[in-house]
Amino acid sequence: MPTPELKNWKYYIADPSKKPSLLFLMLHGCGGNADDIFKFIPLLRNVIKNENFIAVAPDAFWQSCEKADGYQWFDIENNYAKKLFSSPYATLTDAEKEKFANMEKGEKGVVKASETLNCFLDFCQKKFGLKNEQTIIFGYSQGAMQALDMGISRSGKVKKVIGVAGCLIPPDKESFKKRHMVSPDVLLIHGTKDTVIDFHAAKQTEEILKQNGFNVTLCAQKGMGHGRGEESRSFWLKTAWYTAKTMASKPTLSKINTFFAQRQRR
Amino acid sequence: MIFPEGQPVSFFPDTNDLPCQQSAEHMEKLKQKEETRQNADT
Repeated sequence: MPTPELKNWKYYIADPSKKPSLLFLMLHGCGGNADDIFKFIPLLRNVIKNENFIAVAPDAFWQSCEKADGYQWFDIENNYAKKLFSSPYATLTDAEKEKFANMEKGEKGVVKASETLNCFLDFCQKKFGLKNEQTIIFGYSQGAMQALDMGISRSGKVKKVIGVAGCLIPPDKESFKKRHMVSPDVLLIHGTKDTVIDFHAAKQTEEILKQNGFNVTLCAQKGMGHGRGEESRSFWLKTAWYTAKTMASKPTLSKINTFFAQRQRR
Repeated sequence: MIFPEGQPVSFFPDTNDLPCQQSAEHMEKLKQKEETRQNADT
């Protein structure tokens, strides 16, 4: 079975005059594209000063059914159901588990997508002269699901996988065991009022990873949804802050103070 | 596996735009469609 083709990708170097010390692979959500997730860079730049990073963002493999400039990593559009993410996997019906299986397997599944993406990551590391221990895989929503799958199934362990508003596909311990090759550190960031990908799915993911010896942190963003709209500004600022803490040993103090002062004013 | 050349992005304007809004909107619509379908079935 062929692996999907990566057709388009973009990259940004924070300081082109210096050798980069970090590769930040960014995976957008379903219906998004590289430009959509690259809008995270200005937020990140505000809290990082001393890390010269390269951000890489590909467009996903499959065009969205409804958006000409939107893409998806695997077929979630034809298999999405809210209940899949709000109920324990073991309690799902066979038909519901079939939806997860459709997202996982086959030409348009997360597994095949990870094969291409891990080859692509090898390509980027070679191109930019960076290694697994200097690589962070960051994903939002479906991108987080993809980031987790490629991070755990990769032949070498990256520095960290950061999943925002996503979960394992499926969030099931038996399926996980079949995919598990390496154990990178994992940071999950998820709104407790997320009605698209329920917070429960992040809790399940955290539990599975912990049971398998991962160093995993789940940052529950109280009262936050899936990340849409002005009310999510705080969610994204916190995501930038948590990401900066992972990327840089010391995010800039003045920017940290500004960030927290803004929080207190709300 | 062969990959295309990437496009360099050298500049991000200072904006107030939030990241991932295109995807967030799309997923919200996906959820609403599914809820409508569920309601129609019941």
